[in-house]
Amino acid sequence: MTEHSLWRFSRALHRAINERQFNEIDTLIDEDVDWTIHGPVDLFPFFGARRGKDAVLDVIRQIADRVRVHRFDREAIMLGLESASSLLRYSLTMLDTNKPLRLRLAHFAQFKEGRLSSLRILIDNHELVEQAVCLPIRSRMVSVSA
Amino acid sequence: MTAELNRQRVLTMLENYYAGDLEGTLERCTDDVEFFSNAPIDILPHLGGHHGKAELRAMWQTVGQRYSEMRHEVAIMVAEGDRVAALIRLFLRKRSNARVVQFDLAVFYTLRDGRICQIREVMDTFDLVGQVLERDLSTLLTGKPEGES
Repeated sequence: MTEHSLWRFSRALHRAINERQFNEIDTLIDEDVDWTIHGPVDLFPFFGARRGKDAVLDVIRQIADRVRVHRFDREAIMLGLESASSLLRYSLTMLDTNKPLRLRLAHFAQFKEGRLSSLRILIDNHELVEQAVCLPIRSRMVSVSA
Repeated sequence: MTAELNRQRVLTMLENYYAGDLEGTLERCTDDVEFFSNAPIDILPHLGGHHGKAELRAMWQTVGQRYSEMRHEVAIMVAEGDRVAALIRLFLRKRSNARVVQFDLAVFYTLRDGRICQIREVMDTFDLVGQVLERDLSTLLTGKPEGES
Protein backbone atom coordinates (compact mmCIF):
# COMPACT_ATOMS: atom_id res chain seq x y z
CA MET A 1 0.00 0.00 0.00
CA THR A 2 1.50 3.32 -1.07
CA GLU A 3 1.88 6.06 1.51
CA HIS A 4 -0.46 9.02 0.98
CA SER A 5 1.29 12.11 -0.40
CA LEU A 6 0.15 14.11 2.64
CA TRP A 7 2.40 12.21 5.03
CA ARG A 8 5.57 12.75 2.98
CA PHE A 9 4.68 16.40 2.45
CA SER A 10 3.90 16.95 6.14
CA ARG A 11 7.20 15.41 7.28
CA ALA A 12 9.17 17.43 4.72
CA LEU A 13 7.40 20.67 5.62
CA HIS A 14 8.10 20.30 9.33
CA ARG A 15 11.72 19.38 8.57
CA ALA A 16 12.00 22.52 6.44
CA ILE A 17 10.54 24.73 9.16
CA ASN A 18 12.36 23.28 12.17
CA GLU A 19 15.65 22.08 10.66
CA ARG A 20 15.89 24.34 7.61
CA GLN A 21 16.24 21.27 5.40
CA PHE A 22 14.65 22.29 2.12
CA ASN A 23 15.91 19.56 -0.24
CA GLU A 24 13.05 17.14 0.36
CA ILE A 25 10.23 19.71 0.28
CA ASP A 26 11.67 21.03 -2.99
CA THR A 27 10.90 17.67 -4.65
CA LEU A 28 7.34 17.53 -3.30
CA ILE A 29 5.97 20.80 -4.70
CA ASP A 30 4.51 21.12 -8.19
CA GLU A 31 6.04 23.85 -10.39
CA ASP A 32 2.62 25.50 -10.77
CA VAL A 33 1.49 25.17 -7.15
CA ASP A 34 -1.30 27.42 -5.87
CA TRP A 35 -0.79 28.26 -2.17
CA THR A 36 -2.83 30.45 0.18
CA ILE A 37 -2.66 31.01 3.93
CA HIS A 38 -5.64 33.22 4.77
CA GLY A 39 -4.72 35.94 7.23
CA PRO A 40 -3.57 39.52 7.85
CA VAL A 41 -0.49 40.01 5.64
CA ASP A 42 0.24 43.35 7.34
CA LEU A 43 0.88 41.50 10.60
CA PHE A 44 2.29 38.26 9.19
CA PRO A 45 3.98 38.81 5.79
CA PHE A 46 4.18 35.06 5.11
CA PHE A 47 0.39 34.89 4.93
CA GLY A 48 -1.44 35.48 1.67
CA ALA A 49 -1.42 33.88 -1.77
CA ARG A 50 1.58 32.56 -3.68
CA ARG A 51 1.80 30.99 -7.12
CA GLY A 52 4.61 28.74 -8.35
CA LYS A 53 7.19 26.59 -6.65
CA ASP A 54 9.81 29.30 -6.18
CA ALA A 55 7.37 31.64 -4.44
CA VAL A 56 6.16 28.84 -2.18
CA LEU A 57 9.68 27.74 -1.25
CA ASP A 58 10.46 31.35 -0.45
CA VAL A 59 7.45 31.65 1.85
CA ILE A 60 8.36 28.38 3.60
CA ARG A 61 11.83 29.88 4.24
CA GLN A 62 10.14 33.00 5.65
CA ILE A 63 8.09 30.83 8.00
CA ALA A 64 11.23 28.89 9.03
CA ASP A 65 12.93 32.22 9.81
CA ARG A 66 10.17 33.23 12.22
CA VAL A 67 8.58 30.11 13.70
CA ARG A 68 9.54 26.87 15.41
CA VAL A 69 6.99 24.04 15.61
CA HIS A 70 6.93 22.33 18.99
CA ARG A 71 3.93 20.11 18.63
CA PHE A 72 0.93 19.52 16.42
CA ASP A 73 -2.11 17.33 16.95
CA ARG A 74 -4.44 16.27 14.17
CA GLU A 75 -7.95 16.60 15.54
CA ALA A 76 -9.51 15.42 12.29
CA ILE A 77 -8.16 14.12 9.01
CA MET A 78 -9.65 13.08 5.71
CA LEU A 79 -7.65 11.52 2.90
CA GLY A 80 -8.97 11.46 -0.65
CA LEU A 81 -7.30 9.90 -3.68
CA GLU A 82 -5.05 12.90 -4.35
CA SER A 83 -6.44 15.26 -1.76
CA ALA A 84 -6.37 15.66 1.99
CA SER A 85 -7.81 17.86 4.68
CA SER A 86 -6.91 18.15 8.36
CA LEU A 87 -7.96 20.09 11.40
CA LEU A 88 -4.81 20.73 13.43
CA ARG A 89 -3.79 22.24 16.73
CA TYR A 90 -0.26 23.71 16.72
CA SER A 91 2.09 24.83 19.47
CA LEU A 92 4.70 27.22 18.08
CA THR A 93 7.35 29.69 19.17
CA MET A 94 7.88 33.01 17.42
CA LEU A 95 11.67 33.12 17.09
CA ASP A 96 12.07 36.91 17.23
CA THR A 97 10.25 37.26 20.56
CA ASN A 98 10.55 33.70 21.89
CA LYS A 99 6.82 33.93 22.50
CA PRO A 100 4.82 30.68 22.60
CA LEU A 101 1.71 30.55 20.42
CA ARG A 102 -1.10 28.06 20.11
CA LEU A 103 -3.34 28.06 17.09
CA ARG A 104 -5.96 25.95 15.37
CA LEU A 105 -5.90 25.64 11.59
CA ALA A 106 -7.59 23.77 8.79
CA HIS A 107 -5.91 22.84 5.54
CA PHE A 108 -7.07 21.53 2.19
CA ALA A 109 -4.32 20.02 0.06
CA GLN A 110 -4.39 18.74 -3.50
CA PHE A 111 -1.61 16.60 -4.99
CA LYS A 112 -0.65 15.82 -8.57
CA GLU A 113 1.65 12.84 -9.18
CA GLY A 114 2.71 12.98 -5.53
CA ARG A 115 3.51 16.69 -5.54
CA LEU A 116 1.56 19.45 -3.84
CA SER A 117 -0.46 21.34 -6.46
CA SER A 118 -2.75 23.35 -4.21
CA LEU A 119 -2.88 24.26 -0.52
CA ARG A 120 -5.45 26.40 1.30
CA ILE A 121 -4.98 27.08 5.01
CA LEU A 122 -7.50 28.77 7.30
CA ILE A 123 -6.43 29.86 10.77
CA ASP A 124 -8.31 31.22 13.75
CA ASN A 125 -6.34 34.42 13.28
CA HIS A 126 -8.16 36.42 15.93
CA GLU A 127 -6.76 34.06 18.57
CA LEU A 128 -3.35 34.15 16.89
CA VAL A 129 -3.18 37.95 16.74
CA GLU A 130 -4.29 38.34 20.35
CA GLN A 131 -1.46 36.04 21.45
CA ALA A 132 1.08 37.76 19.18
CA VAL A 133 0.22 41.29 20.36
CA CYS A 134 -0.54 40.17 23.94
CA LEU A 135 -3.74 42.20 24.11
CA PRO A 136 -7.38 41.43 23.41
CA ILE A 137 -8.33 43.11 20.14
CA ARG A 138 -11.65 44.06 21.74
CA SER A 139 -9.82 46.34 24.18
CA ARG A 140 -8.43 48.37 21.28
CA MET A 141 -11.86 49.20 19.93
CA VAL A 142 -14.58 51.51 21.08
CA SER A 143 -17.86 49.70 21.50
CA VAL A 144 -19.91 49.06 18.40
CA SER A 145 -23.10 47.18 17.74
CA ALA A 146 -22.16 44.15 15.65
CA MET B 1 -19.17 4.29 -1.53
CA THR B 2 -19.96 5.48 2.03
CA ALA B 3 -17.73 8.50 1.56
CA GLU B 4 -19.51 9.54 -1.65
CA LEU B 5 -22.91 9.07 -0.01
CA ASN B 6 -21.86 11.17 2.99
CA ARG B 7 -20.40 13.83 0.70
CA GLN B 8 -23.82 14.08 -0.99
CA ARG B 9 -25.59 14.19 2.39
CA VAL B 10 -23.48 17.16 3.47
CA LEU B 11 -24.10 18.95 0.16
CA THR B 12 -27.85 18.44 0.60
CA MET B 13 -27.71 19.72 4.18
CA LEU B 14 -25.88 22.83 3.01
CA GLU B 15 -28.45 23.40 0.24
CA ASN B 16 -31.22 23.12 2.84
CA TYR B 17 -29.55 25.48 5.28
CA TYR B 18 -28.67 28.23 2.80
CA ALA B 19 -32.15 27.97 1.25
CA GLY B 20 -33.49 28.89 4.70
CA ASP B 21 -34.93 25.46 5.51
CA LEU B 22 -33.86 25.30 9.14
CA GLU B 23 -36.01 22.32 10.15
CA GLY B 24 -34.92 20.40 7.04
CA THR B 25 -31.33 21.08 8.01
CA LEU B 26 -31.88 19.89 11.58
CA GLU B 27 -33.54 16.70 10.29
CA ARG B 28 -30.17 15.80 8.79
CA CYS B 29 -28.49 16.03 12.19
CA THR B 30 -28.55 13.56 15.09
CA ASP B 31 -30.40 14.55 18.27
CA ASP B 32 -27.07 14.82 20.12
CA VAL B 33 -25.28 16.78 17.38
CA GLU B 34 -22.23 18.70 18.61
CA PHE B 35 -21.13 22.01 17.10
CA PHE B 36 -17.95 23.91 17.74
CA SER B 37 -16.75 27.01 15.94
CA ASN B 38 -13.40 28.46 16.89
CA ALA B 39 -14.37 32.09 17.24
CA PRO B 40 -14.13 34.97 19.74
CA ILE B 41 -17.44 34.57 21.54
CA ASP B 42 -17.16 37.99 23.19
CA ILE B 43 -17.64 39.46 19.70
CA LEU B 44 -19.57 36.64 17.99
CA PRO B 45 -21.50 35.18 20.96
CA HIS B 46 -23.69 32.89 18.87
CA LEU B 47 -20.64 30.83 17.82
CA GLY B 48 -18.47 28.75 20.17
CA GLY B 49 -19.85 25.39 21.31
CA HIS B 50 -23.42 24.04 21.10
CA HIS B 51 -24.94 20.66 21.82
CA GLY B 52 -28.20 19.19 20.58
CA LYS B 53 -30.76 20.30 18.02
CA ALA B 54 -32.38 22.94 20.24
CA GLU B 55 -29.10 24.81 20.70
CA LEU B 56 -28.24 24.55 17.00
CA ARG B 57 -31.70 25.82 16.08
CA ALA B 58 -31.25 28.81 18.40
CA MET B 59 -27.80 29.57 16.99
CA TRP B 60 -28.96 29.35 13.37
CA GLN B 61 -32.01 31.49 14.19
CA THR B 62 -29.62 34.13 15.57
CA VAL B 63 -27.66 34.02 12.31
CA GLY B 64 -30.93 34.40 10.40
CA GLN B 65 -31.88 37.43 12.48
CA ARG B 66 -28.58 39.13 11.61
CA TYR B 67 -28.39 38.35 7.89
CA SER B 68 -31.13 38.81 5.32
CA GLU B 69 -29.49 36.81 2.55
CA MET B 70 -27.06 33.92 2.71
CA ARG B 71 -25.30 32.32 -0.23
CA HIS B 72 -22.64 29.62 -0.31
CA GLU B 73 -20.20 28.11 -2.79
CA VAL B 74 -18.51 24.82 -1.98
CA ALA B 75 -14.93 25.21 -3.22
CA ILE B 76 -13.41 21.93 -2.01
CA MET B 77 -14.73 18.74 -0.45
CA VAL B 78 -12.78 15.78 0.89
CA ALA B 79 -14.64 12.73 2.16
CA GLU B 80 -13.37 9.60 3.84
CA GLY B 81 -15.63 7.06 5.53
CA ASP B 82 -17.95 8.82 7.97
CA ARG B 83 -16.11 12.15 7.74
CA VAL B 84 -16.43 15.01 5.28
CA ALA B 85 -14.45 18.25 5.11
CA ALA B 86 -15.64 21.24 3.10
CA LEU B 87 -14.14 24.59 2.24
CA ILE B 88 -17.06 26.93 1.71
CA ARG B 89 -17.16 30.55 0.55
CA LEU B 90 -19.99 32.43 2.26
CA PHE B 91 -21.76 35.65 1.32
CA LEU B 92 -24.00 37.05 4.08
CA ARG B 93 -25.96 40.29 3.72
CA LYS B 94 -26.38 42.21 6.99
CA ARG B 95 -29.92 43.21 7.89
CA SER B 96 -28.62 46.32 9.65
CA ASN B 97 -27.10 48.07 6.62
CA ALA B 98 -27.29 45.59 3.68
CA ARG B 99 -23.52 45.25 3.49
CA VAL B 100 -22.20 41.84 2.47
CA VAL B 101 -19.82 39.89 4.69
CA GLN B 102 -17.75 37.48 2.61
CA PHE B 103 -15.43 34.85 4.03
CA ASP B 104 -14.16 31.29 3.66
CA LEU B 105 -15.17 28.64 6.15
CA ALA B 106 -13.59 25.23 6.74
CA VAL B 107 -16.07 22.74 8.15
CA PHE B 108 -15.39 19.22 9.35
CA TYR B 109 -18.45 16.98 9.58
CA THR B 110 -18.76 13.57 11.21
CA LEU B 111 -21.76 11.44 10.29
CA ARG B 112 -23.44 8.60 12.16
CA ASP B 113 -26.12 6.44 10.55
CA GLY B 114 -26.41 8.93 7.71
CA ARG B 115 -26.88 11.98 9.94
CA ILE B 116 -24.46 14.68 10.97
CA CYS B 117 -23.38 14.21 14.58
CA GLN B 118 -20.45 16.63 14.79
CA ILE B 119 -19.62 19.96 13.14
CA ARG B 120 -16.27 21.69 13.66
CA GLU B 121 -15.59 25.05 12.00
CA VAL B 122 -12.43 27.06 11.41
CA MET B 123 -12.36 30.46 9.73
CA ASP B 124 -10.12 33.50 9.50
CA THR B 125 -11.73 35.10 12.53
CA PHE B 126 -9.54 38.21 12.32
CA ASP B 127 -10.95 38.99 8.88
CA LEU B 128 -14.50 38.05 9.91
CA VAL B 129 -14.48 40.21 13.04
CA GLY B 130 -13.16 43.14 10.96
CA GLN B 131 -16.01 42.73 8.47
CA VAL B 132 -18.69 42.26 11.11
CA LEU B 133 -17.56 45.31 13.11
CA GLU B 134 -16.63 47.21 9.93
CA ARG B 135 -13.20 48.05 11.32
CA ASP B 136 -9.78 47.67 9.71
CA LEU B 137 -8.17 45.72 12.54
CA SER B 138 -4.72 45.64 10.90
CA THR B 139 -4.65 49.44 10.84
CA LEU B 140 -5.91 49.49 14.41
CA LEU B 141 -3.06 47.25 15.55
CA THR B 142 -0.21 48.54 13.39
CA GLY B 143 -1.24 52.17 13.03
CA LYS B 144 -0.53 51.89 9.31
CA PRO B 145 -2.98 51.93 6.42
CA GLU B 146 -3.60 48.52 4.84
CA GLY B 147 -0.79 47.42 2.52
CA GLU B 148 1.74 49.92 3.86
CA SER B 149 4.86 48.21 5.24
